[in-house]
Amino acid sequence: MSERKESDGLESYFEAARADPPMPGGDWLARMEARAIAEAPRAPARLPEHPGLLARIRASLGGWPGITGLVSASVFGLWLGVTGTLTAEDLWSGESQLLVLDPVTAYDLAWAEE
Amino acid sequence: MPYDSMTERSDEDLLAAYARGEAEAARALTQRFGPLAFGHAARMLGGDRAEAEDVAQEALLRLWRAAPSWEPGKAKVSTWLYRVTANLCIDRLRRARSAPLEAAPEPEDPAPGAVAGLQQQARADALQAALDDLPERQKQAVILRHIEGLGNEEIAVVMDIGARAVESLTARGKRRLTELLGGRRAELGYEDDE
Repeated sequence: MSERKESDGLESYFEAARADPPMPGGDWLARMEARAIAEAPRAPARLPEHPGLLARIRASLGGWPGITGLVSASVFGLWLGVTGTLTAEDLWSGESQLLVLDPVTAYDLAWAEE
Repeated sequence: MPYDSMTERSDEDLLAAYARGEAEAARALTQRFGPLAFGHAARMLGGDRAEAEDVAQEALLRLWRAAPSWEPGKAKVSTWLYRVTANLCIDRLRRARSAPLEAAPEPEDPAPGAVAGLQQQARADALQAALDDLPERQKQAVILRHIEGLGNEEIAVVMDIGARAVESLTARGKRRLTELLGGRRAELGYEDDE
């Protein structure tokens, strides 16, 4: 029997089978959806981009506020060095106007008054 | 992403979205591939819906777990799923064959009366009964070629054989089906058709 003749004879059976595909129940599909969601890989946390050298230095110095403080102190130190207006002796002799800065805090004063 | 736009995306895009953790992709993939896995399993397992649900669930689970390492362009998702589903079915059929007879499910009557309007169903049932008499590989090849509508090249990938072997399996399968169904033409209303 030729293959063509076999296919012709069987085609109506195949057609009947294609017309009536086995379909899963809605509850099964719903369960499969829930299972698929449960099995889904978790969305990865949004990682920050790998910081560059400058960013890491900035972070190690405490960010922009830290850098600002560091620059201010450096400039002040440079100014002291260049101008020579203040020496260690000035500090110990109390001649400098800088010593008008009172290191005693209100908290210390409150204790002293008791 | 809205579900509607998911339905227009390719299988691979959806699987990649699923691997990124998108719940809508999980829903769309289930709607797309759940019926495919279930339908193929049901046909391979002789219409046993409970067994087909178990097999399809396992096949889908394997798909979800394969998603993160899926290589785009390597295989069609549907081809991969047909292959996994069929292999799971063949494992079950072989286990059932070696199990005691009383453990096997009661076969359904394959020949409901050829009542007008029910002939289509009767023919589908008769075909399923005849398919169940074929060796597993012939059955798989005939189902994929003539019911699922796959080409020989894709069936070759599903079955991990050459295209010529697919042709041979389908030819032998159809020859056997013709023998099995030939004696039932009157019963199935073919004489009324002529």
